[in-house]
Amino acid sequence: MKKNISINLFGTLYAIDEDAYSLLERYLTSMKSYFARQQGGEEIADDIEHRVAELLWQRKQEGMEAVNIETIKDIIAKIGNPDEIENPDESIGENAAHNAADNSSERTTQTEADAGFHYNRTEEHSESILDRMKARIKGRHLYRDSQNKLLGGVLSGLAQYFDTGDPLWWRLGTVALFLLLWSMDVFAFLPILLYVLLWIIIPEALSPEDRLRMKGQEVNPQTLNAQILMDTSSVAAQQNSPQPSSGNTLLKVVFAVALGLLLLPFGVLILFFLLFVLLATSVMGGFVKHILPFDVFDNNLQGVPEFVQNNSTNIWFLILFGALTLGIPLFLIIRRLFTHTAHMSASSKVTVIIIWIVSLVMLLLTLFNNGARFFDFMNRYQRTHVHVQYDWNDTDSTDTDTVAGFPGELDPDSSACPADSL
Amino acid sequence: MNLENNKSQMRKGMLEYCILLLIHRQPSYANDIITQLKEAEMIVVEGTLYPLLTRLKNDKLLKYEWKESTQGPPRKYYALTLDGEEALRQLDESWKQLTRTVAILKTGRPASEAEI
Repeated sequence: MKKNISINLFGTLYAIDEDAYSLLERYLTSMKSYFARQQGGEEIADDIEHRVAELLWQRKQEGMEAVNIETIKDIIAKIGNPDEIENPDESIGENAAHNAADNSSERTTQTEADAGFHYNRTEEHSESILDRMKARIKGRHLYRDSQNKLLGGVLSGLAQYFDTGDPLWWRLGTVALFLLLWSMDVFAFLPILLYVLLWIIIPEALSPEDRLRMKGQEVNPQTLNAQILMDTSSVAAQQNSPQPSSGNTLLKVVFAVALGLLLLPFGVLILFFLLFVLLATSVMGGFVKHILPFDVFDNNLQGVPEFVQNNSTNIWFLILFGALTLGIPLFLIIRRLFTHTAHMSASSKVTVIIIWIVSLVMLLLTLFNNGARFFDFMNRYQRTHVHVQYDWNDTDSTDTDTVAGFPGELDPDSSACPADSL
Repeated sequence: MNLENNKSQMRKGMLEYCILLLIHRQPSYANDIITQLKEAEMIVVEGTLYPLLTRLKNDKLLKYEWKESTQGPPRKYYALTLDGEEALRQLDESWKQLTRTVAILKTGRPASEAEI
């Protein structure tokens, strides 16, 4: 028994099985995205959609009640490879021949390279092995292989990337490394941290196109069709196996908790680092304030948004903007290093840049503000202790709220002309 | 020499000419063209046709109009433009030239005798 939905293709209704529908949708979507790159591509995709409708109509006339997945597979096979004659120039043929040669040489050296990969750690023949590794990676893109995943698909993705077949060995190796480090009590968290980092950075192979690039196969409609059909059968197989995800979810929760505990010291470290930066920049900010001929942040710290002045929120601003300012470039750089293509639209680029600039400005404002306050505080502290008598006499009660957050009834005018206190 | 590759290259070179010939005979829509090309064993999978038709249309050799169909979705009927007729004439010429050349090479007669 299958759930059935009805679709409207150019004015005719078809009853179609759910799985058949999802296959058809993926097929049409990938054709659209494939042809979108060439001139008139939309039209080609539209023609193909019309053709699909026509073939479905024919079958309906022949008495087909509901469209099932076999029908859709038939149609996809029938329409076949629209690209075969698309580029009649010589380069395609040459490329194909080149690739074929590469593949065959890769296959013959596969067992050698397999062995070579393990030598790599002992650093024997490092150059030739590096070359072999390069030849092996060639054309592949690093993705997380979500179809063979245990946790995040990082290791299975790496196994695909280095073409080492079964990710089981990667998993065993990682666990062994973790246990080894743990037993030696050094950096046991590093593999885990690395895993999570890779999990975050490496994009998941979502579309059939991604999966082809992951395997280093050429992306053309034929390979796309084959991939879509293969994905369908593997999805069907997954659906048949009972409750595949419940164990995974539990594992993930345990993993996340363990990770949180491990990351806690890191968070503290980062906090300390930020505090250090804060102090350094504060001193600098205060210094700048004092060498400038005019007062950048006068008494009321004018020019600085009100909410930045609020002392209690300062630390959160520092953490937030500090993390954004440092994190965004770091994330982008690492992402760029690990994936060959940065899938980023122009609008999201602009957004990221704006967020980064804003957080940088806010971070600097907060830091300078702190520095200015710090120096103010020091000045007043000096004053109140050195010229106690003068201060008490000169206190203007109406202005005291402008320096809220600092201890004592300090003279707000003292920082307006800081030179006299130095 | 890769024989299969050679054969497919020859077919590729012919395909646009064949399409123009078919459409020249009568305006037709994709399915007509596919059926006839399949009968002539020019193409195996029908998807190859769509990018070609679109390119010929973009090159202004073909034009099309939509026609409602009693059998299924509306159809694009392709016809030759004036440029298309001209292109077909030129292709005809070069096809004649080719067959002549092949005939000469097969029989071994000198070119002067073959050209009448």
